[in-house]
Amino acid sequence: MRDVIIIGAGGGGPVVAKELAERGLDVLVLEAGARHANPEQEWSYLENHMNSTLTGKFRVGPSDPAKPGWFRELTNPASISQVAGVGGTTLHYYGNSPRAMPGVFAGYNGADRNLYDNDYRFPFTYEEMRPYYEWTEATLPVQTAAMGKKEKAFFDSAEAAGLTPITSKDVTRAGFRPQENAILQPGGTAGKTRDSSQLQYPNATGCTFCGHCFQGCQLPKGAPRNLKARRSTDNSYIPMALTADLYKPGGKAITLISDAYVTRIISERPRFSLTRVARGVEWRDTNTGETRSEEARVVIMAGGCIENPRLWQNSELPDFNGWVGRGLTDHALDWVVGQFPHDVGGTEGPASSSRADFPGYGSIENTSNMPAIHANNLSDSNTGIRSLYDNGLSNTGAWDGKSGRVYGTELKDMMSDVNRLMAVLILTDDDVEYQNRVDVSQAFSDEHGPVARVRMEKRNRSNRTIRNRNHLTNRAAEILRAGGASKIIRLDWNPVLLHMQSSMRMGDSVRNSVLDENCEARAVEGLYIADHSALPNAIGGPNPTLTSQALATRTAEKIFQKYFDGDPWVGKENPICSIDDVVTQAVIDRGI
Amino acid sequence: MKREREAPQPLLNAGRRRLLVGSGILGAAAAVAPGLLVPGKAYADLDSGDVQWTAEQLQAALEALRNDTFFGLIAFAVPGDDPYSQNQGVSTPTPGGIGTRADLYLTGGIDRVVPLPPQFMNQLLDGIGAYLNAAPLSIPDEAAASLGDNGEWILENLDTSLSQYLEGDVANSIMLALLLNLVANQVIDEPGTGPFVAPFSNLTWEQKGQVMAALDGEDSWLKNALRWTIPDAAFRQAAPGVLQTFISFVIRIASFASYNEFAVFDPENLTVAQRPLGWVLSGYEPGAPPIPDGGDDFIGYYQGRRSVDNA
Repeated sequence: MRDVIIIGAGGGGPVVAKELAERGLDVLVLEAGARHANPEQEWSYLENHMNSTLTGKFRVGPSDPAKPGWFRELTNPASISQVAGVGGTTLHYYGNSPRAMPGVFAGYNGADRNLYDNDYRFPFTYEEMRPYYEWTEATLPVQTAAMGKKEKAFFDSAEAAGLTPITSKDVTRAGFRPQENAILQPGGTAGKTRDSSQLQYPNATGCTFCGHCFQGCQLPKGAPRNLKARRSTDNSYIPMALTADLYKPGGKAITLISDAYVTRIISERPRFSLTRVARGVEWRDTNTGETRSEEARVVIMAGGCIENPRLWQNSELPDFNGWVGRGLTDHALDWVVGQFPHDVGGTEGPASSSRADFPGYGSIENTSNMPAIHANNLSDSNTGIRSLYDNGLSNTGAWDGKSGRVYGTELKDMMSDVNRLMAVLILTDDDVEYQNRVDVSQAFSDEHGPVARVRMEKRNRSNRTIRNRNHLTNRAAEILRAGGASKIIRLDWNPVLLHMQSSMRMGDSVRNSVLDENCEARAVEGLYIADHSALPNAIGGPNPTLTSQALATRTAEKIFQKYFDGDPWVGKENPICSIDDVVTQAVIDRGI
Repeated sequence: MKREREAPQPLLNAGRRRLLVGSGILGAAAAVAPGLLVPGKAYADLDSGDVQWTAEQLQAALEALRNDTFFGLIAFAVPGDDPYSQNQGVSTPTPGGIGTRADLYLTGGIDRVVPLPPQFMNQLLDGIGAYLNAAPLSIPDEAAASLGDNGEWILENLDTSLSQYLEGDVANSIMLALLLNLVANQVIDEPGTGPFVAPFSNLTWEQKGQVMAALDGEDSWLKNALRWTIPDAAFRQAAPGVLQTFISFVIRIASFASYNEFAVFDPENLTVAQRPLGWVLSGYEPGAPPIPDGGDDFIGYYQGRRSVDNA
């Protein structure tokens, strides 16, 4: 019997794995997708090859590219931007690591306290969370982002729009700032040359400004895996978890199995007990079709906001208050693009190194993208093709004309020089809403059981969610206008399920939460959740990965205390950074 | 063996007839195998073998229809200097999506996007046929007559072949092409004729917009068509969401396809064999290939700050 089995090696699972591996527990991590052990040999800088949701390396599907991706039923027009594989969706994330807005935590008493989703706060205070942020920021590590052409253009635009810089990790007022990114900042020749022969590690360290965050981080070439620039978990927590016995006295390396799709959580209800107890998991080898199972004292779900509810239901676990899969938040993402008369670096450098935050409303961030992603993002809308039809739904505001897709010659014109585009991603502080949910399809199944069914409303959202989204899109357009954009488009996207939170939410009330204040399932003892689905709300709009990872660190401590009679360590010990020399040596010694 | 019937009698219900004619299947079939129309031969004198469609011929007809439709669709998304763009009345002096072969990407891609079971697709087409049986469509019932004296017979035969085809795996791309062409007939009062097999591709750019509007909205034609007509309850419930997501995906992916590298991908070296046309059109990476391992855009740090306050 294992001590712990973790289902999913995405943004959250590896955090718990590494933390408990450092405590010497026997940890098995099961990942449904591929393990990309040799990125320099397997990956490219190309959008279709890497990012196609159909056939790309970074898709939700089996590692065998000849097999189709895993289908999810959507009840409304939407798209899902997740990745299966070791690293999960952090494989294509931008490394943005802001903290949550303090206003979404219990006990918040700021002047703007009524602006937040107060029905679904964190069940503990921001002050309690802070040490876990600090521990996680030091482990990844999180660093203040460098500036390139697009960042300077964004900062100049934000200043011209009347915003002032934010200079702290805690955000308590509106303003702009460089991103706090889980990216090693440029050193040596990095960021200074396009000559690849000059960019080998150790001549170059950290981010080389290649402009391909979305295609995965394999740079600098020649660097040990834990010294690749962006801190996706395949470059940070997983290398640590696999070598914990080498760099940490008393540590024990995890066992990692990829291509292992968990199809059932094994549980039982002991006699005279009202709750079930998790006993282990069953999984299917996606290459051979063979089914295997193992037992553990603790099972941790970390398959994400869509797969966790599916697995719960397919395991026939109880849903006594009806909240399993409910309350999904997605930051109601939107896209505002300015076309400038000059180069604003629309394709260059790290994908996102600048942002502006508006507590109570959410955040916006400047992004760079390769051409096909730009075109893709300009062609998604809930309000039609703006020059042809609007479904009766178009919006007007600080942008030019109607919202909607850019198509035909207008698309071709916008795309005629992608470096003149400044693209702003809208991250809305959206409400937990009961109707937005994940359950299982009644119509479609695959080899792992009934597939997930996702219902994410676009129009049927709370007044606050809609207000916040409109506020942020107008602020983004104002910033672009102040910066000199000659044309500004608001797309009004269909739901783009990239930032997903809270579908298995923790909470302080048994009436509306699946997890208790320690992220243990209320209905199943020994079953925890350690990814974005455990978040109690949309965290105020900031990118959720850091907060999930800090929460997962806290969850690891709670597990260690309750089930293994251990002591907490955050605040008592110093974290080992994932780029520490002892980790690097361990990674080299183990040949990872 | 001579046909026994003395004269063609319409045996197909109106919905099925509208599906076969309005979706362009009949036109595509005639284009693929014009000999089967047997011009000048009286109906009563035909051998059954004269109009016996093979599965291969039907497959070829459907693929021809799909390819023609997708050219029209890609020209709609990213117009260029090609005949499809010129025919829609919106073209540009430079190549567009057709030049990047986004049509091939679309075909190869969407067949993999949704692994819908054959039963679902079969019921979907039947459902659409049932809807068309009751819904007005700008196709005269005598449309088959334009194919000659034997049009009705050909239709009947085609219907049999299609039924057999539908019992196998129906590609998403075929379904999409049929839908686009059906809706083209549904929403355009008098669809014009033109040089292309696919009715959709003969539309103007604005008319193509009308087709998309009909499919894309939350109260779309498609949703109405499917609301009551699919027999299986689970499929009926799932179909509107699945297909509207599919339509939205197609509109978006036509743009993605026009600007990505797939047509010049070098799988051995994981790079591009030459600079993709989409990169040329967008001014991206003028020096590629090769694609550099880094950029030279590093300026410094905003206000010289390397870190922020921890509170």
